[in-house]
Amino acid sequence: MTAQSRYDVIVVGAGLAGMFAGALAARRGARTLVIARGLGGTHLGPGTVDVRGYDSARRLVNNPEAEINQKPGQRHPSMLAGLPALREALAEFQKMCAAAGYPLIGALDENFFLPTAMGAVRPTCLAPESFAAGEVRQTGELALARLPGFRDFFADLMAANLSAAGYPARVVSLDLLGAPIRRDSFATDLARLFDDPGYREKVAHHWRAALKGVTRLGLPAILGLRETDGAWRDLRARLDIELFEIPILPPSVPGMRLFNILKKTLEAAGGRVTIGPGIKGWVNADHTSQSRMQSARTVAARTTTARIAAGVIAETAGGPRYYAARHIILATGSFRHGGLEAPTKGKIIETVFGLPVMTNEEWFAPLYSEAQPYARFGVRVNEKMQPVNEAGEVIYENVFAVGGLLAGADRNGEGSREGIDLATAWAAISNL
Amino acid sequence: MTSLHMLDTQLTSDVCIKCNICTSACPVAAVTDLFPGPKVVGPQAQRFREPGAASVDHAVDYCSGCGACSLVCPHGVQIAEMNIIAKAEMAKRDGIPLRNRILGRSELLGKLGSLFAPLSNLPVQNKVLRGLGERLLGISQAAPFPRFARRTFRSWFERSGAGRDVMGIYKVVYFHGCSTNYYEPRVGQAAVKVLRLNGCKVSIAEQNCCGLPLQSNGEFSAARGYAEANLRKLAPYVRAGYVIVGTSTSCTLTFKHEYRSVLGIQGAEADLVAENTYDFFEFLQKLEAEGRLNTVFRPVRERIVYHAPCQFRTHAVGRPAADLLRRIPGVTLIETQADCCGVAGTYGLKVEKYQIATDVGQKAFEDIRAAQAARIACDSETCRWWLAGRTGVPAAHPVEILAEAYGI
Repeated sequence: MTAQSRYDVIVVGAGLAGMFAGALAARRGARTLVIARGLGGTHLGPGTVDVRGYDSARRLVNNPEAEINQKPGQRHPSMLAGLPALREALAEFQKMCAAAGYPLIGALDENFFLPTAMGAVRPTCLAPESFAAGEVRQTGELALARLPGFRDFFADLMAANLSAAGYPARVVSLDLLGAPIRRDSFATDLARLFDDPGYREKVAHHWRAALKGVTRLGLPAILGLRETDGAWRDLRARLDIELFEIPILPPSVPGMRLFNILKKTLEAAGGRVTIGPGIKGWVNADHTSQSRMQSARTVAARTTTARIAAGVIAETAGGPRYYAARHIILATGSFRHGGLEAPTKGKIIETVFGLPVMTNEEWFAPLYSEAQPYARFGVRVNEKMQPVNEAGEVIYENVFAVGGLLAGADRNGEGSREGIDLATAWAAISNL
Repeated sequence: MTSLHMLDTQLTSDVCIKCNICTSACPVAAVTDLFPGPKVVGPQAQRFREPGAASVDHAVDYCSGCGACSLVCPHGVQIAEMNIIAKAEMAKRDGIPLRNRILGRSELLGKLGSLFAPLSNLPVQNKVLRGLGERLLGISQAAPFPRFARRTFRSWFERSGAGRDVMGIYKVVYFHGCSTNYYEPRVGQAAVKVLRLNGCKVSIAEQNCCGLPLQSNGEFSAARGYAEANLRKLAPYVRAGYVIVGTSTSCTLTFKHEYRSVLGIQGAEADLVAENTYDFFEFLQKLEAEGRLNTVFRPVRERIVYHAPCQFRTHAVGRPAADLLRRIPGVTLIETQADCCGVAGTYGLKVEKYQIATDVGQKAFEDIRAAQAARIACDSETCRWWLAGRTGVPAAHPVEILAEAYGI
């Protein structure tokens, strides 16, 4: 098979880990391609950076750094990457966002406790400024906006649950002027409206009476899609109250803002993002191609010398195309995002290289709310983020795995998703 | 009408988790609430459609077919493809307006138009006739149309002797499509010269309209007729070691993707043609990776604004034209950040969709104006005509600029 194109770094996957790795690589001057079947985690997540939100007893964590230090857990991805990598990754990501006019605030030693759209409390480490006034431990009554006609946010449910949890909240009804009427509105529709200064002026004028006596108002996260927080800042000034956004159902507007910032950073540094083709195989150094189906047998076999992968095979519209790369970074995610597949009971496949997957006899806990063993399944890596086999030997010298694909973390259960994404991406790029 | 392959496409609705990523990327839903969005008219409505039965709603007609939804879907739901099939089922039930039958027949229009050019350009330029065309047919009188060439590309090729090379590092069948043959022979001339300069032997083979305009306007059986003719004519070339290279990005995409996923054509010929078709700069990219591309360029001192057409994105091969043009000395290349220019083939030409297409295209128009470029470079003819007409900035296929850089 002959190459269609050559890159220094190919990142497979366009979620937070993949896009951050791509941006870092491009900024180091590497000819970089991020390639992914579809958009990923950013568009589904709340647009915050969780580092460690819950301890092993599922209690809220106030200080993520202390929690990580206290229970290192050798195989945990963020420990493999190391605390310095985590610290630097967060700082670098904050710098990127600030440079785009969308600062993320917070620190590694103190979580925000932010209200969810269901009225629960969610710890998170870094958040956009437009989320901060939602901190539930702040004093003063919360008001939540009921937006008639918008079906993806239920202020009444949120207020009732928050109040029951000891955080008094009430509801004010606010009209969405000019929202779609011939169909349902999506968060993106409203966000595009709020991008328009004229719209914000009109809405602020119209809402003023209803907001009499309100000092702190929560709106669903619909205040502008352009990556800056200008819409939020402007509306807050116009209404002259503390205003905050609450992440809601996908499509996630704050998540899209982060994706757009990373994409711009990456492209400004000369990198490329191709969304569409799946990656379902690779090319060996001797130019023979392989798909993951064959690999489950070959790669998992104990190897004493690490091999080199020459590139990946993309499923383009016409057929398979071979993209050559000096380094390949897998950021394909776990089961939900296509990095792992479980075609039959007891069998799990890593979908690009067929890398060995660390599993467990038990897959499921009896109750949904319990910690699920399968959440920790994934690819084992060393401290350089190179996938290793059971004996701890590196499988491919130039292949790295980052983010949700990695074994050892219950990212949802412990509230560590974005922290792992950023730290492991940082570690992989530092080790190229 | 529903073949097994079409059913495969429709059944991808089962893996939709309703995450709405497609809705967030849809350029049409972003500007009008007449269109409920790809998730709603695609996988959601698909669950209410029996195989072969009519679409349950008419809103799907507002899908422009740009394909952004299918690209961003993380689960492989073929949303845009599903929508085209639903539109065709709807057209079968409700009938196809004369206007759509006309717009679908680019080969016939081209044949007639080039035969009577420049006389045939009159209706396109005449305000009264365009006004009549809008009232009687529903073709927007404001929409820009191209002019017929006096001499077709094929007649130039035959006379030029460009097809007489005996050897080449690659044997290439150049698929010119209707637009190059009847409207813009200069694109084909540049393409043939660039291929030959890079050591390729070029043939133009017998060929027909790819069938995409018919497919988009709901005439699946007529589109299949063209598809089968093209497969019959081109597959023997591939078997003889040729690759198919085209400059009309929607035609090459049709070979690669639409024949199999939308029209449901199966078999060895369809696979052979799909897998051996390259869009022009995708092919040059391959030549370069093999160390065979001539990259000795003369300076072209110009600001150029590149727009990646939605149809080109569906090839899923990156942006090779922009990557190469940027390396021509003297060229300052700016890329638009717009996902779609709005016209989407024949969509924006229709009077009821003209304003939607204009609103979709706003971002592209703004980026082009802001770039203050001398030319627009774009791989799709319908996008070029639309963008040039709407912004007043002349448009070229990237291969024309490359040919200038080669000095040919």
